[in-house]
Amino acid sequence: MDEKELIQQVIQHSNHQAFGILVDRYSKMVITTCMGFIGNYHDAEDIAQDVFVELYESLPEFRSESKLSTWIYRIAVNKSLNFLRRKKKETFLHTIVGDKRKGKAEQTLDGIVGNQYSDVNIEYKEQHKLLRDAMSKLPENQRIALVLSTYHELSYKEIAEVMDTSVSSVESLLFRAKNNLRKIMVKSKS
Amino acid sequence: MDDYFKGKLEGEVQSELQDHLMACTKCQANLLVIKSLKEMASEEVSRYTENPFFASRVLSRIEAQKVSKYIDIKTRLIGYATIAAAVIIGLFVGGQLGTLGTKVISTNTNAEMLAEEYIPSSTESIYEYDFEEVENLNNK
Repeated sequence: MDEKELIQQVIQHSNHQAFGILVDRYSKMVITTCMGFIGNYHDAEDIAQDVFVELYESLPEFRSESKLSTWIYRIAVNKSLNFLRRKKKETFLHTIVGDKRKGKAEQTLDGIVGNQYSDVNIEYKEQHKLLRDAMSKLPENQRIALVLSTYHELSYKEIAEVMDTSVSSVESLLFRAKNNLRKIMVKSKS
Repeated sequence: MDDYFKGKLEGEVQSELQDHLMACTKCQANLLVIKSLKEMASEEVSRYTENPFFASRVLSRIEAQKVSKYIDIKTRLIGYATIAAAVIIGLFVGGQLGTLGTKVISTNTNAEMLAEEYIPSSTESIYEYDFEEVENLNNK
């Protein structure tokens, strides 16, 4: 069954089996996108579930003029950014109320990074952590362009479609993102 | 720089960029950032292992959401019905109490109180009343 037929099956007959096929097709793409923003697999999978639940609900609004993957990328990006905003707020509130413990998100991230790279050398692990921290300091639109470009190697045109902007804007966003990353990393190392 | 990293550049362009990279520390740092990013991304993507239960989890969440929405609507309808019933009962009881109040007040009107002076309510019938006696008393 091709994609259009699957979508029709879901919209007209609420066919769960058809939706299951769509989930299987796009789960890797969604989870790795969320992973690019969040940096921890466990949360990325949870958010990916939310993405597909929203996809199921919003599928009747989907116009087949654009690609389904573009639509899914958009939901995944929004859900990931919302998650990060919520976590940031939580961490901020922890600091306000004088909680000396680290924020939950930070703890999770440290734990995951620690577990994931225990077999790899410390320098490599440090490099990844630095990069993650630097990425989290980038403006949201630069981060979106960067994740879509590095994790999925999407073309400028595809990124522009997801972000609903022009190709030249994407070029400029990526250029600035890489420059800013370099600056942040140099600053944090020194 | 991206194209150089991906190995898409060839010949003169490639060697020119390489010469530039040897001299420019800023571009060296940029290339390092690109390299680290790509490494991190490909490493994280390669660590992805397909979860065989992922789709079924999503579907059961959709199902659960449907049920909870149905329960929400049902609860809301029951709530509305309860409020409507309470309002109707309230209006009915209020109406009844209002009517009762009117009756109590009407027995105490001035006209009835005045009548009580001339024809005591203890009198069983108006025919038993001695009109002559009352008239004589009034003439006096």
